[in-house]
Amino acid sequence: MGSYIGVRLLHAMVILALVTVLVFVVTHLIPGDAIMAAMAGSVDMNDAAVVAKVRHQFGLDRPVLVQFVDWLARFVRGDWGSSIGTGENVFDMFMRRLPVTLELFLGASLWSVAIGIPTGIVGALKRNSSVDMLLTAGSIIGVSIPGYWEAIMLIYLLAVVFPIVPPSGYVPFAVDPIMNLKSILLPTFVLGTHSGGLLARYVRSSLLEVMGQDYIRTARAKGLSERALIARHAMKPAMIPVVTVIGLSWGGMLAGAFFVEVIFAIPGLGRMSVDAIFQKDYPVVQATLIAVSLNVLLVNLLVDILYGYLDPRIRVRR
Amino acid sequence: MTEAAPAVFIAPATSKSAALVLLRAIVKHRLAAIGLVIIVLLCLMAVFAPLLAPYSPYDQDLYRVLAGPSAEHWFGTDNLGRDLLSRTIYGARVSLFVGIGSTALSAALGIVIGLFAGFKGGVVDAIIMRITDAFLCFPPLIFILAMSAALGPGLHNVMLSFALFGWTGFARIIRGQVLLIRELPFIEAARSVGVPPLRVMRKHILPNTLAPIIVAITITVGSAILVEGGVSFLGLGVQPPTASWGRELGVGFRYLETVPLFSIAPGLMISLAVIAFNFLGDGLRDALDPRLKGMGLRRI
Repeated sequence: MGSYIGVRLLHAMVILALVTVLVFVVTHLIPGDAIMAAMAGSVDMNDAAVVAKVRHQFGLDRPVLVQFVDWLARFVRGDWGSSIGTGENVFDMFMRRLPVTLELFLGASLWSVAIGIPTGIVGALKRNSSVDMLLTAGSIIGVSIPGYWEAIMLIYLLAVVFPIVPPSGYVPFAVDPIMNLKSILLPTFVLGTHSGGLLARYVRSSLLEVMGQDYIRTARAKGLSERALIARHAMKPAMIPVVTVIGLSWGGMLAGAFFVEVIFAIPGLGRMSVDAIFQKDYPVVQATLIAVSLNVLLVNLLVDILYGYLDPRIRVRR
Repeated sequence: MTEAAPAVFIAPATSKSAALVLLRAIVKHRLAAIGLVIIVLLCLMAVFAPLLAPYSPYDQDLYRVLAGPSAEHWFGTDNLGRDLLSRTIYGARVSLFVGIGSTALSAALGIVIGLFAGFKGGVVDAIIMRITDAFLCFPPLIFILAMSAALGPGLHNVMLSFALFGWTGFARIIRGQVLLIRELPFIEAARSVGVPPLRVMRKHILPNTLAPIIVAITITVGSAILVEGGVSFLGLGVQPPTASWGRELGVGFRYLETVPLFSIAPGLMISLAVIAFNFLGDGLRDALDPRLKGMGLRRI
């Protein structure tokens, strides 16, 4: 087990190194120097001396490799630079918005579990019936429907036609708990339907696979009711891949949060990233990209280790 | 990354009869049939847009800006007085073009890289797979947005950005298939009679990896349409005055309270297109690989 974890960790480190290279390359693709592009309004771009001074000031005249190592070394130490747009410390900006987005993700995960697990179980129990087909269609629709449209339609329905919830805006929980829940009701639902549909598909197939095992037949043969059979014997092993889906859905949710936070005017990480992308505020873009990939990487690592622990066959396969 | 051991697909969909078998399976799978019908209708709509649309998508009627549905303008008009129905019909062109174009680029890149990794094995394979893992750490949409912003707006940049991240899924599928197939007796037989490696790859391995690739292609077209819609919604994709569903929705959203159809129509079309490709992909998966029956969709 020890060597297995060691190998997985090593893999994760290699991937993380590649991720940082990738992030650096993509953010340096911005035509012209990113900083020069951002400062085009404030400095005289025709004055070669001024341009050279600014380039030197930000270290853009150094070789790319040196810039990369320098950037990485500072990033690891928590020095994420300052926003080109506002001059604010990126680490502070990030941390201030993180709780908002985390609240959205938690709410969305609750929705997705509440929708996905029952849908998947019913689908598996009534497999190949018309109910199953309807649920499958519903799950695929949940996965396919663009979050940006779903959000707009829900606003139209529940804020314009029937004014039940506010159309947009965010109220912190500490300020007004009830309004907070009202303001995140629609955004979390929109984020949750996508992963809920995905979850339903996985729960269904995972449960079907478990139900085909020998020990389930044994349990059935000893006269256990179908309900007890699922609750006591089938659910637990069927949940293993499901935990993975929930964990990994957080990466996809951030992409969803880009739109949801823009549409509902929520001051979280998604909105910050979109603004940063538009303003070519590359220290902010870099921080978001690395944070997201680190999240995915850690979840993958945990899942790998968990699987290795649960299933000895995986440990020796590679 | 943990994944179930992939199955060997034995379904060379090259011969005429195989295509027929596939079509029959799609028709039997009701959701896939619905998906296929919607896709065919959307393609017809894109091709025959000039015949179907009552107006040019660019004609402005400045006396009728943001008008509701009427006998002349069934869906009403947009903020520049253009006919919404016509723009919705023409929008199919952009979505399908980007969806299919991005997928073709991703698949081409992924197949070559995956074949190479699987066939070479060893260190080359390990390096390529770690790079793939690194790419898979990002939700593609975020990177595509960042890339589109970096490269500048426009359809081609969206497709290029998509392909730059979309190839990983194809590479992994192909590589997994190659690893399984190259151990099978018929490959050993081909090699032992002296067939050169490239020919083995092209003639014997590639055709046998087609089944999962067809499924992946179908689902990827849906994803690409979804992504293009999103990128255009934020204003980074298609540039005005081209009619695009995503762009339309992005503008229409501002007039939600006065002209709801401005948001409803384009969004509904994107949803229909993505749902259709996912329905079809799901059915194809069931038909081509019974082992994967009911598995989830690839996350994008």
